[in-house]
Amino acid sequence: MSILDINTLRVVRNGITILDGIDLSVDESDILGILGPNGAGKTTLFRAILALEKYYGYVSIFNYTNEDRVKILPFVGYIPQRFSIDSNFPITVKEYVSTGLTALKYMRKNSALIREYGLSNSYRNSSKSDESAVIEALNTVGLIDLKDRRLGVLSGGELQRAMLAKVLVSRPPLLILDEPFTALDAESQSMLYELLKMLNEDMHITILIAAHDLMLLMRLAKSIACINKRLYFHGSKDECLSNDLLLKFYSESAMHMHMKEHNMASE
Amino acid sequence: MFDILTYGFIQRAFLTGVIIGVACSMLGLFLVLRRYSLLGDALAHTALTGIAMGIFLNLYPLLTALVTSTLASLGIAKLRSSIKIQGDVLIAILLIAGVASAIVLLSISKSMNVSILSYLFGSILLISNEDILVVLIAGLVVIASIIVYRDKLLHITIDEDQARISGINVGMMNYFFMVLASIIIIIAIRLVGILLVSSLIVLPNIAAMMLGAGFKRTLLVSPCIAVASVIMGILISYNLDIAVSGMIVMMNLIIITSIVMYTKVRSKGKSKGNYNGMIVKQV
Repeated sequence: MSILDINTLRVVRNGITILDGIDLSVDESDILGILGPNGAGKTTLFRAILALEKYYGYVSIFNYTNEDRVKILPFVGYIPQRFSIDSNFPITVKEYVSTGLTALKYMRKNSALIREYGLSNSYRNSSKSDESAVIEALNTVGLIDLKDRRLGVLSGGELQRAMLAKVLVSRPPLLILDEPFTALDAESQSMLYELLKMLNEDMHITILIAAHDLMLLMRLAKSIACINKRLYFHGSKDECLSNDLLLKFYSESAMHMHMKEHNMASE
Repeated sequence: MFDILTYGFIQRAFLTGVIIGVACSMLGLFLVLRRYSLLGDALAHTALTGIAMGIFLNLYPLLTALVTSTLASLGIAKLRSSIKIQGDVLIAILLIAGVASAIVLLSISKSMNVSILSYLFGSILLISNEDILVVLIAGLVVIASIIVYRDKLLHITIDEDQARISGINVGMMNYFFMVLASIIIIIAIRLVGILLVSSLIVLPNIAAMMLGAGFKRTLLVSPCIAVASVIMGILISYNLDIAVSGMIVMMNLIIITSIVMYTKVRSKGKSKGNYNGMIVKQV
């Protein structure tokens, strides 16, 4: 059953077409990796899905289409590419993660909206207290020891995990991550990788993730979509790997970068 | 020295001063965090236009002031979301436009006189009983609204997009917040005057934020600092016969300075300990 359906999506900003003719559907429990070079429109695609950007065409989440889907958006967790907070902003990690309760409360109140999807996540219907939902999310991402720190003093990797914890307070059935690996060192990358795998396997969270790092995405994703203004490919990971055309498509710059790394390694 | 508390006008000054101080500092925390520190200034200056209008049309000046600054604040909220003008540019334009149109109106109505001075510098000791009612109702409404909506306001302050996805009506909340801001600024003019309004909004929060606590504690500490400076300011100004508004702001500044010195001394002590210990680690 598909959770997200996109039909003939087109986004035009200041007279420039950023996305055109995108058709995409995401099945329950899938991990769809969105591949594309910088400036391919991955972020714009996500913002259009989340009603943060004007678009033409159809976007359906849990079968609620366009304006109608606004009421279902709290069921979607979104981790943007960029998020910064002033180091003087008076908020602790725990207080920040607690802002995820807004979505949890909304989901509890409106759980009937997605009843037909059989996603009757016992978690949301349980009488679990708000406090324990927050603590559990902090534990999941391994930030419980830093819960009383100010958010602004966290490292890049820790901030990323705090964002994830905030979203996980409500355990959204669909999670969208925009280039989450880009700013992380190798250790944080593999930590996040394991975490996302666990969310998908144990909590059955459907994941939509953008990246321009081919290798990392190939390991994580179950299916792949390649976007560069248009949709060039959408299918399983195996199909993707055996598709010559696709490799040609996948922007020369990224391939060059990849080859360079190999050259440097062999030198 | 406490016999001054038996005077009616001092009691009224304390009561209204405390309410205004608490409301301004609580609302101000969100303004400061959204980098709108000077919004208070801009709205107060547009209120000057309203006051001039009130004098010109012979209406209750604070009422016309409320109208002009509410319009100005809603205008800011609207413009900020529709056109991409930086917040500080908008505020600069409003500030100047407010004063200029006030000067024009006042000179037309030939009322550039002493009565306008009480609006510029505040006149808490001259507050009347009906003023008190207005201040009490407006102040309590603002305080109650912030307590009720603090989570939503915090969410919007951190990240508007995330707040929107979580099901918060960000547009409505922004307008609502702006209306609260204009209400509180109008009543704060009574206490410290147009020229010093933003001090009530900004200073207690800067002081509270420097203490390094989380959000909930900052939201509690900042009104305490505001109340302390209002009370000390009124007491000292009465005893030494100094203008109240200036004294309240001076008290605020003294509190900030002491916090700065305290944190300096504390961090020095800490780093010394580290030198004597093993590893110096800066977090």
